[in-house]
Amino acid sequence: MSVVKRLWLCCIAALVAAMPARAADKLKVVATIPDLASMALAIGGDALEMVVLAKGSSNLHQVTARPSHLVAMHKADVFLQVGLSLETSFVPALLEGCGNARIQPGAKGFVNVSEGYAALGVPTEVSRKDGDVHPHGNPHMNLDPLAGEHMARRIHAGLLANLPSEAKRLDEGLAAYLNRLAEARGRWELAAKEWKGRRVGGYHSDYDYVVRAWGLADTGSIEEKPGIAPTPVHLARVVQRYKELQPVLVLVAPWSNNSTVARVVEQSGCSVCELPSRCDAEGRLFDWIHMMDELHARLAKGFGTRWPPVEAPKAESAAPAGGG
Amino acid sequence: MSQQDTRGLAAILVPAILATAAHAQDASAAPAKPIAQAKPATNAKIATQGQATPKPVPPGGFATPGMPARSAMPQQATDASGQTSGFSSVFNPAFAFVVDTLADYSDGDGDDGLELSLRSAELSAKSWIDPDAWAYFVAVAEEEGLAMEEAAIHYKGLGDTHTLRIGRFFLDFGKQMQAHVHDLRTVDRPLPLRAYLGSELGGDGVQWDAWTPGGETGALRWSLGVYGAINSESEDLEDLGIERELGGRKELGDLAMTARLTSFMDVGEDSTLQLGASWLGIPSYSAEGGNEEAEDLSQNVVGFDATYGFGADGEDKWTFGTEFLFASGDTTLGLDGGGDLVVDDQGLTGFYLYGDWAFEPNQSVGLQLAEAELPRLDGEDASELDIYYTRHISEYHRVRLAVRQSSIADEDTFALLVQYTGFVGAHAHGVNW
Repeated sequence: MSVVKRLWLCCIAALVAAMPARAADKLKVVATIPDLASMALAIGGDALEMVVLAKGSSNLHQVTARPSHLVAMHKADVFLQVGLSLETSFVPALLEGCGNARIQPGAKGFVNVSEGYAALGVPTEVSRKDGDVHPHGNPHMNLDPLAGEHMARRIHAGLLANLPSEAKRLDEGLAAYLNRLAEARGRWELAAKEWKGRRVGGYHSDYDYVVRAWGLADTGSIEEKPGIAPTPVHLARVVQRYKELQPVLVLVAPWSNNSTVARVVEQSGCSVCELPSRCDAEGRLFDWIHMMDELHARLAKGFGTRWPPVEAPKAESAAPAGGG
Repeated sequence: MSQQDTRGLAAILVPAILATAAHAQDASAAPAKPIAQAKPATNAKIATQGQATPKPVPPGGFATPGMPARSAMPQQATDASGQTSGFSSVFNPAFAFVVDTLADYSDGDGDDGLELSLRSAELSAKSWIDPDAWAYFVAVAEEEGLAMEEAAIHYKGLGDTHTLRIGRFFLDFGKQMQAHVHDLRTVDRPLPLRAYLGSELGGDGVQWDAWTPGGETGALRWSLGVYGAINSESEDLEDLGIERELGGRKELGDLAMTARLTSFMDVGEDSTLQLGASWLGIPSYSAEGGNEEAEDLSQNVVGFDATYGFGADGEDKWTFGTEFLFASGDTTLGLDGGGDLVVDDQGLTGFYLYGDWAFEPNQSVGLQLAEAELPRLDGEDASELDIYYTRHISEYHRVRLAVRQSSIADEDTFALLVQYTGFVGAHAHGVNW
């Protein structure tokens, strides 16, 4: 064998050795928010290789598409999104730019978790005069205590369509998750019995699904219209309303617990309650059920009621990351 | 008009008026079918904010006495005939409209005083043609009139990350020449870009664009373009009455070309870095001024850009960027003392650098310094210092306050600028690279 041929063979061998071993059988999944990732991992476990796009607790309307997002989308087998225009600041650009036909809308790798879900506040007239309206309705579905099963089933169906060889594992994963969910929902319902009719306010419409689920009395938002900063006139009206309707618990997300809220709270004499707005990609609230437990615990604290509720079935503590 | 003519006209008009009145009466009597059935409100706030009761609109519309009844809009959906036809609107493109206004107060050695202007009104539309291609246009009304700034087709059938763009579009040069002026971080395009490329740089041609992942956190993108015509605006040359001819029928080797290579990567958890290099080559163009014409002129512009962004989503964000440009060839056109056209092949350099701080999601301040050797016969240098504050009142309109200190040779000008821009209709965020 000539020296040139040997050199060629060495080069080819080196290239083959240098090629990253494809995580052969793992399904590459990209989720827009940790909430969806936690459910998918609870159902699919280590059959999945997961990437989460929006990791922090910022307003999802302000998430910026990054190079790593583009690459993850390019390589993904399955893409999980809430939909309802929740991720509109970064998902359309990534879907358009990623060059991956497997996860485009209509393909089996595209999973819109809100499909088939009855969203609140679907406008009959879509106009910017109503602020940053979402044509498909209130997009904060991941904060609906009653939406867990819908989301889990949609994710399960999406994973199953793309990984039929792991059907048994996925079915078992879903069953186990739904059991945990039923137990958790029992806790939340029990705690919420004491909250029915309690008055709440808020900065944005993040927690409208919580309000609906537990029969809270909504006294209106500090934002005059969704996504539009309040005018001084509107703020004065809100302060007056909150004063008249005392006690009002003002529900805010980490991103919206701002100086305007502090001013309203100070002037109206009501109290503020900061709730998680989604799971934490790297912290202890990675698991959606844990995150909702935390949300209900903070609500209980805000209302001055018991948490965990006394008659609740004993909660089993589950591992946070990857959860399940 | 004779009496007979008048009678004839009356014979036509009276029945027509009566018929119109009868039609209007019928129309107002018949209740309009609501467009969509409102869902029952489940929450008081939602009901008041998002679910305004649809107002029935009579098919004939509202008309005051003495005014003609407005005709009903034609039914354009597919439900009447069960077919899509030339009157169906279901496949119509998404439209958008941008209004960009500017108040500019200048004090210095040049034009002084206040100017209020509608800088531009832009109408655009885009839609998919089929699964492999989409098309768009951007028409802009400015002081000079209405212009079709972009109208192109993006063909995506070459492969996942490849795009072929055909038509008229902004050239892929540097970090920001692809964007329209009202979309920039500053009121105007930076000085060296204006001087060497024009405030907007469009071309009629073809561009191939592709990208590939570089590891898990980065990507490499490149583009190559070939153009039969370049549309570059130069205020300096317009002021001198010099016209450049950058289009027309030409030999294959005389077509203008662009090339760009850029890498874009995550740097840590909260930062991104983009580095890029661009080239524009115009092998042949002609110019006319002072009753003279110069032919077989050529020009090259090379640019290098770097942009670093830092800040987690929802936190303060910092962006630092710079771009260096080198122009060579027949870069400089002017008129001599006798009013004759003169061409000089000066090599010119310029740069700008900036830092922006978004201290709130909807508010930012920035500072930009730019310097450039101007393509003028007297070889003057110029510099601009911009300080600007931008507030997005909502996602769809924005106000910007800026102060600018400009120096050209020994002439200094101070300007105070207020820019107000509104975006209507289809609106989307892109991957900025």
